[in-house]
Amino acid sequence: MLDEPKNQAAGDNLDYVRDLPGFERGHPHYFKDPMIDHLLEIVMLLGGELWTVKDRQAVTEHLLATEGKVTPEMIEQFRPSADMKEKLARDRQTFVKHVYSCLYSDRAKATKTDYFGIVGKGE
Amino acid sequence: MTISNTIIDRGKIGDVPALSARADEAYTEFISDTRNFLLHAHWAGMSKAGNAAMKDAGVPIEHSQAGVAKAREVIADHSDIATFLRIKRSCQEIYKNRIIESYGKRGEEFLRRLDEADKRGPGSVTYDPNFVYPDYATVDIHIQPGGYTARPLVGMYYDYGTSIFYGGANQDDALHNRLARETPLPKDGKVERVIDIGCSVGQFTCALKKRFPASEVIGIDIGAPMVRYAHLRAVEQNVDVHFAQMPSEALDFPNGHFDLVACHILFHEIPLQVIKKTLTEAYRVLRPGGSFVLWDFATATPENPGYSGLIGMMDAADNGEPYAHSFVSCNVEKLMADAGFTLRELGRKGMLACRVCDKPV
Ligand SMILES: C[S@@+](CC[C@H](N)C(=O)[O-])C[C@H]1O[C@@H](n2cnc3c(N)ncnc32)[C@H](O)[C@@H]1O
Repeated sequence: MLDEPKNQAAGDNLDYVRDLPGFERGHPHYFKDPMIDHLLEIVMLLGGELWTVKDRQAVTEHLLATEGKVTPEMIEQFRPSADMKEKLARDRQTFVKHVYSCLYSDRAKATKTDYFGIVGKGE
Repeated sequence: MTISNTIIDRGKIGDVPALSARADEAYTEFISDTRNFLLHAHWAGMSKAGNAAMKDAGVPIEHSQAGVAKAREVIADHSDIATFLRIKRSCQEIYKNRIIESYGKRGEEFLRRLDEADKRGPGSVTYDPNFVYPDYATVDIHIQPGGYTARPLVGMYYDYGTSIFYGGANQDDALHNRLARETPLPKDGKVERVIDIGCSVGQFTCALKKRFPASEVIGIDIGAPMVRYAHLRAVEQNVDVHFAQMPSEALDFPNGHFDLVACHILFHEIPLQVIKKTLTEAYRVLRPGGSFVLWDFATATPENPGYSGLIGMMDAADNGEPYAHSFVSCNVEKLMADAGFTLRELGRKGMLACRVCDKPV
């Protein structure tokens, strides 16, 4: 256990919560020049947009190959088979790694890869 | 952008309605993988690097506005830590906004479904449309716009959003089902009434009902939108559980009413005073011999600072977690004893700890 937090003494008055870090959502930036934050954010946004296009193209090609035609409704209603889902997930993960691998220095080597790596498995 | 603006019902993914467009789904899946790859996989390394950077700079980690401001100066000198935190914040903003926008396209229909479910069984839901939320409960927790309380569809946002948070690994509530299966019984084995406090969308509540099918199971949460959606979700799964809007610090049940009180990751999201009152209430509503099971972050130690390190502090500040620090640095086991409980078991699973305690006979 670490030191008891100071707010333990605040009794029933909870006004102090308004001053705690995190009570207001704020607009944080992390680099000296916030433009770098903006650029990274743009890179994230574009990555997501590019993936949606790749996903749509994969579905379009699949529908054309299997149904011989494609409409926006067919795309929206499309549910990939387990195999195709897995393939899309693999492609997406490769895409994420390929595009963003260079972002970190070696001192923060990757370890566990998902939330359950941290809290333990489900069923 | 697509060539058509038609909004169609895209069915469900697991227990949650699918997003309104395939593009929204693809986008959030991308964020989920990005989080796995760029955040979860680097959490341990960045935590170490962050604490080392603070130490090297001679800046103590101090959970206050001033402490966070000093930490920001240190972070700005370490581009890898700055990158990690930028990506973390951006991912949160991007996927939360996308979900709101996507469900918003069918917003009226979802509101109607909530209204209809309010009156349907199995089970029930009660809430007060005029409930006045205490200030502490109005935080944009996890920077969810409007927190758990202000937007009527937040239960759905939460359900879909946590599937991304869990990196796609909580399919069919696997985690909650495991927790329910591992929930220890009161020593005499009698479980007729169970309450899940801070139940959110009722995943653990329903899992407890499946584990104890003959028992009456109740889920309470302070957020009306949460219990309304929890009920809709349970109705659609045909699970007979009861939900009520209720603050954990003022449980509207008689003394000794329950055999088992369960609580999963509520405590790090409420102020310490509310934790103490909640423990008193949990003790009161349990019968002698009943048990209380608390899952939440492990208590911080100097060897294992967890949420009290730099990355935890920045998560508190920039991910709307104002109360997490006071939880990990309070000795919740002692607070449980102060409330009258006897600690039976303290187990640790990664970041989380499970505390099982009994109300003495
Ligand atoms: C992290 S979620 C809990 C997750 C849930 N138990 C599960 O297993 O998935 C925290 C929940 O606690 C609720 N909450 C916050 N303060 C509360 C209070 N004082 N009483 C009851 N519920 C509260 C929030 O509305 C939110 O739904």
